Amino acid sequence: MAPVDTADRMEHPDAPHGTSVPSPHHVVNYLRIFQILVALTLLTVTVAFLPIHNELINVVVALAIAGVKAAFVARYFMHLKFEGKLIYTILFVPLSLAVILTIALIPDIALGRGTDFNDMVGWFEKLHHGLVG
Amino acid sequence: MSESALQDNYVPEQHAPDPMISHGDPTAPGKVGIWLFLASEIMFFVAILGSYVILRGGSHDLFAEHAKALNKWAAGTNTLVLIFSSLTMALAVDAAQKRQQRRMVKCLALTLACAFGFMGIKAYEYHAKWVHETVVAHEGDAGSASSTVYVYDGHVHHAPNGDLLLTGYRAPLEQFADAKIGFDIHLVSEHGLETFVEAQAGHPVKEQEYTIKASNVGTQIQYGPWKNIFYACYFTLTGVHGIHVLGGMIPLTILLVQGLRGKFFPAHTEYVGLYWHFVDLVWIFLFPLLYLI
Repeated sequence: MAPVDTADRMEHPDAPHGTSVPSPHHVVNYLRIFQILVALTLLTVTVAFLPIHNELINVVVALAIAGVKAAFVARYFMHLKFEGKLIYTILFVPLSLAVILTIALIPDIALGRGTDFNDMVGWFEKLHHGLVG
Repeated sequence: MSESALQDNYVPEQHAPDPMISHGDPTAPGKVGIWLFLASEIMFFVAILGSYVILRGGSHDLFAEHAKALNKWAAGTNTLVLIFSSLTMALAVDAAQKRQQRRMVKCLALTLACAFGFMGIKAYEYHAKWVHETVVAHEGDAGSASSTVYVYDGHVHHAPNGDLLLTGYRAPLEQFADAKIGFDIHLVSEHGLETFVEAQAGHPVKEQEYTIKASNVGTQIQYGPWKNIFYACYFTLTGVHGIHVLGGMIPLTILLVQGLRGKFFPAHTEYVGLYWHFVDLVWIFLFPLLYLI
């Protein structure tokens, strides 16, 4: 943690002082992060147009790229890389609850107790083929 | 208690280093506050995204079919707009910390412009759904032998006399019964109807403009949240996210106006920045989950 910048306080007596004036010691090349995020966006769109018919692969790849993008935004734009334990502790709670919530909901899909539209399985396939019978 | 704490204009924000108040933790209370808020936001979005995943799993074909009608290019552009606004926001925070007024004002103005751009593209997307309708209407004199009931799906404008001018596809309703696939106006999609018509015709069919007399319309449904569970999810997720963008525009405007007056709020700018990056982060997940898979 940086010491309070008393020189700044003397120069600008009215300015807010203390550590709540964030002192940018960490230099982040924001433009580089932006370029990486644009590249990853183009990648995920490209993958979406590839003729991959496996739903699971599509979802896993899309979420993996989104996860990497989110990590870049959080670590560099949100300065998470430079934060102390307290912020990580605050973040740990909702992120673990997010995992628990998602896992807790899985049996709903697995048991097929989704929605009434389950009755409509095959509806669109038949529609596409316009088949009789 | 420090002396400053007894003053009328005491602002805890500016006195964070006081060990009596901050208990020696080096993190500014304002920053702790915004992260706690973001933690609650994470739970909020996880809950609705989790519901979306469950509903998608329960009605897989419906979601896959209707997601095809979403505009990947508009949403992809919006992704780039938001990422760019995150860049300008990060630079605005940097400029505020370094007390560079011109640079800060420029970056805040660009961020706000991106927010308007995002909402503009979103409005364009919503409008395309608003004028998209599934219509069941008959053609010819009702009850006569020449009358046929058609299912239409496409984009609609209204003629001055109230008639519907629909650009899209149509199929006779009885073909659904002949093909033994049932008919549900909530399930019909434009792409589905197109492939159905093509399968019936045996060759590719182009979309056409149809004029439907207002008095011949039996039933019609817009592509709103009431269309089906997919659109309910789509409008809920993008709508809630859009409200977050609108919400972010308020402090951005305040900071911009204050910046133009030569005032600096480096700490507050950083907190607004954290919120803004979070809104970007949510969109990073919404974009592939709604538009790409």
